[in-house]
Amino acid sequence: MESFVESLTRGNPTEVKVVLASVATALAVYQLVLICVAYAKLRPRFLAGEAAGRAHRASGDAIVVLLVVVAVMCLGYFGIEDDGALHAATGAALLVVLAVKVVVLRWWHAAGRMLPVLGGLVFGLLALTWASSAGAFLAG
Amino acid sequence: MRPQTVQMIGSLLVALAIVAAVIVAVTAQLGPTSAAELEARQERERQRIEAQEERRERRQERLEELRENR
Repeated sequence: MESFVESLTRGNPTEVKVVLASVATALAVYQLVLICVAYAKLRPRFLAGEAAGRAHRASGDAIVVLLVVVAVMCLGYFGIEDDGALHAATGAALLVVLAVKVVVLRWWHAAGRMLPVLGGLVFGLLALTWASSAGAFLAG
Repeated sequence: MRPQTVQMIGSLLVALAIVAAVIVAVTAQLGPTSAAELEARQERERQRIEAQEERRERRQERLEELRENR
């Protein structure tokens, strides 16, 4: 796995991971704006709630793919290190909450009321996970 | 095309623009530490050292030729 990640990233696994995680985090901020429009908390003239909701879902699918790739790279190449306990805990919690959110969206519609809470949790955990690794790396 | 579809495509284009901007910004921040950049720097250093050694060898050869001619 290590050599696969190494060759796939041309010897820059950390840098690629930082870029992918930063893209996912930036898209997550945009997701917040889109969902505010979808729930009519924001009402811009140029964007209807339904269109914002669809864009939110499409963008969310892309974020899920990005996060799974980053998680696989993280575990397969870096593993779990002692000094990265917070990052490992928030990352694991993020994947669990994300999985629950996907289940609620696709199959468990009765729990639809929980979606705003789950979405907020996903965003908070993603921000923490990014800040404890990629953010710290970028800050030097 | 329905206005809803246009709006959704516009929203996704904004998402793509965000992705591009983040890639450019983060890559610019990371640039000097990337393995490709480091390899290129090491290669330039290696070529510089080789060129220096070649010049030294040529100088040495010229000196030896001069000594032999005397």
